[in-house]
Amino acid sequence: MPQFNPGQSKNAVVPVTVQPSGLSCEIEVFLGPNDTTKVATSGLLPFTSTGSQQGIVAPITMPSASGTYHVFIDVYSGDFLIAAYQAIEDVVIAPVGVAEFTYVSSVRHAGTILYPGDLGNGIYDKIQVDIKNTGTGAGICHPHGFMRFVLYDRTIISEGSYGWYLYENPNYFPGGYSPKYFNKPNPAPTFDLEPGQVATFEWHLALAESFRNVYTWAESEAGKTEELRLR
Amino acid sequence: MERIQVQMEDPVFAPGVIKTAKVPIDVDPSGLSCEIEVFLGPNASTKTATSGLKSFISTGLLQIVNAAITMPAVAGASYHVYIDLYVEGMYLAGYQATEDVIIPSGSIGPITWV
Repeated sequence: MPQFNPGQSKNAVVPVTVQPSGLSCEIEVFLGPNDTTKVATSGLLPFTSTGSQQGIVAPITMPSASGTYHVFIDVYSGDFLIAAYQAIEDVVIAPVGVAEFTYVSSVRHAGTILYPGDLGNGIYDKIQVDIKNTGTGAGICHPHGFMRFVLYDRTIISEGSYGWYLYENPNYFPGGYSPKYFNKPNPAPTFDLEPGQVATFEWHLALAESFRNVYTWAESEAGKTEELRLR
Repeated sequence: MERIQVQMEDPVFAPGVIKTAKVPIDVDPSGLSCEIEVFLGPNASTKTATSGLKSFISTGLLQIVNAAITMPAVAGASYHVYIDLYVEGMYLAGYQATEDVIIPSGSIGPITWV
């Protein structure tokens, strides 16, 4: 049984045979609880019969309400109905799940990583937080890793999102390359999470000796996590 | 006798429906006992569907004669339309319509969604 999303645009390809050839015909494919209630329809689509089977493409926007719908096909020639069919298989419109992203861990310092030759002698702090899709549908999460660092004189010299890795639990498999320099943030990540799926979001920070009061946190649709003080 | 072509609209009908052909006829002089037969078929000697003989009295003017026909049950074909006119029992003229009657058929195979 074909299953589609509410409002999804699909094409029904209908093999139609109308005889004799050369007739002006119309076809309508529609969905509904019965053949007199058209919840979604292709409208009347004109075609000229060839006398043999021809594939007619009928675009339909699926109903917005979830449920099971019968599929009806009417073929007209002249002013009358020459074929009225109902598909054996109904179309199912699945309810829309809503993704909701929640942090399921604190922001944590997960050690260091070495980038030889980079700023801070190539030593970067690895910051991680786990985020989970606690909603009922798949969705795209847009997490951001942030840091704020202050000089001795308490001047905030930078605050913003920085390079990150996305690791999928449980294997912590690197999903990308972090920036070589923390003033060149990676583009904002996007990744799909199925309901219940957990991902570890990681970003890397290089800390200079002159930095003090360094904090980091993460943000996504779920909001801002607590800050983690590194220095 | 060679048949005469007569104009007709291009009709498409459902199989088995009853339709009435309205035939404009002018027979002179008036007062003659006439009959008309409208029939469908692949040729003039094969009557797939017919109105039978419809009697009327000539008026000497153009008159409309109704000829009801049950359309052929076999769909997916076109049929020639013939009109035979008899006056006082004598075959006077045979006509064939310029357009055929079409009885379309339609069938649908399995739908695929793309």
